[in-house]
Amino acid sequence: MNGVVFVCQDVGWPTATDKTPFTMGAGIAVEDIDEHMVGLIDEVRLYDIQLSPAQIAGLYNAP
Amino acid sequence: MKFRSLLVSPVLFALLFACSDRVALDLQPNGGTVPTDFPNGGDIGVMVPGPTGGTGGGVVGGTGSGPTGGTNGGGITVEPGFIDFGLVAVGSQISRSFTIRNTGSTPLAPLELLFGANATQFSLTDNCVIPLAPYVSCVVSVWLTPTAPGVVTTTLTVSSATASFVVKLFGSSGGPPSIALSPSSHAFGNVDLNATSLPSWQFTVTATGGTPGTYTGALSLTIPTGFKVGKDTCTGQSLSRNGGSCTLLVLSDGRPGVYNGTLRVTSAMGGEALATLTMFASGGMVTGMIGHWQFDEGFGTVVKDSSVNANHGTVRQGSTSSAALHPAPVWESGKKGRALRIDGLDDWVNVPDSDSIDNTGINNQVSISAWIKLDRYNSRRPYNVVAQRHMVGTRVEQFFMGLNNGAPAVGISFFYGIGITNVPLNEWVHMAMTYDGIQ
Repeated sequence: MNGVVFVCQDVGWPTATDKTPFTMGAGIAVEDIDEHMVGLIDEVRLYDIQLSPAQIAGLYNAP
Repeated sequence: MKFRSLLVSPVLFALLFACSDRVALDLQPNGGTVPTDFPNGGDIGVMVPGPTGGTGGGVVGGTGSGPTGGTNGGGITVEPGFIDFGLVAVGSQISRSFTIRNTGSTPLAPLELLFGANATQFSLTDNCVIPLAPYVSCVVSVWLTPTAPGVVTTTLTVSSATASFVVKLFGSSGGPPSIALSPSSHAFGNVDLNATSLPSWQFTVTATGGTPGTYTGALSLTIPTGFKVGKDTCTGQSLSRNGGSCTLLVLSDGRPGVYNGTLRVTSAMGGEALATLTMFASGGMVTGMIGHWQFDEGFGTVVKDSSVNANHGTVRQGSTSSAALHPAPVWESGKKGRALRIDGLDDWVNVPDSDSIDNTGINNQVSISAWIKLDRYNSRRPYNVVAQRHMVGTRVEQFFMGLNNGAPAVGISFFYGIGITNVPLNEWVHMAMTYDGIQ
C-alpha cells in the first residue's frame, strides 16, 4: 500500500483457471454481486506478470 | 677494441668515438674489411636522405660540408636523415636506428654524436667501433621514452673532424583521446508510459585531448535497466581527437518502475564516460500489461481499457452478475483525470471474460494496481473488493485485492493476506498486489 509491502506469504490450492469476468468495485460471490467498496476508483492496471517492488513503486510515483 | 652498446643520457650528450677520454671503451675491430688501398685519404662526406635532404655538397676531400649534405664523395653516409617514432605511449619506449658508413678508404675517427635542444626524452645506443674502418657500417639506435603527452622533436648531429650531419628526430606521445559524456546526469522524473511519445534526452560523447592523429577506438554502450537508446551515432564509432563527437538519445524502455542507473560509454582504447539516469515510469507500454482502465471517460457507462487488449468494461447497477447497465454512473475528479464513484450498494464495473485475462490467478502470475479514495469501509461484508476475478460457481478467488474490515487485503484461492493498518479514508491511496504464480 502506497508503495510499502504489507504482507507476503505462500499461497496454494492448485486450481485451473476458468472463464471468469474481471470486476472492479465489487466482486462476484457464486453468482451474486457483493462486497462493494465505497468511494472512488481510478487507474486500475492488470498484469499477467509478477511486478517487482521497484515497478510497483514506479506505478505509485507516476503522475 | 670493441665498442660496447650504451644507453646514454640524452642531455647534451656527446659520444666521442676514440681519441677521447670521455668515453673509455674497449675498442676492437668490428667486422668489415679494411682495404689496403685508401684512395680518399680519410676524407668524409655525408648524404642526407629525408626531409632535410638535398643533393650536392657534402664533404668530399674537403670540398664541402654541412647538415644538408648531399652526395657522398667516398667519405661517410648517414641514413636516414629523418626518423619518425610515431605515437609512443607515455612511459613506454621505442627505438629507431640509423646507419653510419665510412665510404672512404681510410679509418674514420673521431665521430661525435650530439643531441640538440629538447632532447630529454631521447637516448641512444650505438654499436660503432672507432675508428670506423673503411667501407664499414655501424648502427646507432635512438630511443624515445616519452615522459609527458605532446610532440617531441630534436636533432642528433653526427660530426667528424671535418663534417657534420643532422638526423632529425620526431615523435609524439600521450595516447588516444579520452571521452566525455554530457550531461553527466539526467532525471526524467515521472514518465507516463501511456503517453503518445515518451520523453527522451540527448547525450553527447566528445573526444578530448589525445595525441595528434589518434582516435578513441570503437565506442560501446552499457545501458541501465529501465532505459534504452533510440537514435545512436556512437556505437562502433571511433572519434577523432579534439572535438570528435557523437550523440545518444536515451528514453524509457517501456517498463514501469523506479530506475536509477548509470549510462556507461567505453572506448576500445580504454576510455570511459558515465552519466547517471533516474526515472519513475508507469503505464501500459510494458510486456505483461493486459489491462489499463484509466476511468477518464467522465460520462456514460463504458470504462475503456487502453491496453492493446481493449477489454472495455461497463458500469453496472445490480446484485447479480447479469445486472443491467448503470443508469447514471457518477464520475468525479480522480487521482489522474476522472474517477468513478462506487456507491457501496450496487455499483460495480464488469469486464467480460476474455482470453487475454484467462491466464491470471492461482496458477499464473498476476499483478494489479489501483488508486482508491474511500468514503468509508463497507460494513455489510468484511471484504470490500477493489478488483477481483472469482471462479464462477465457487467461493474461490482467482485473485482478489481490496479490504478486510478496513485493512488492505489480497487473496488467491482460499488464501488471504491481510494488513495490520487500515487503509486511510478520504484520501487517495495506491493499492497493488503481485503474485508469483507459485503455489
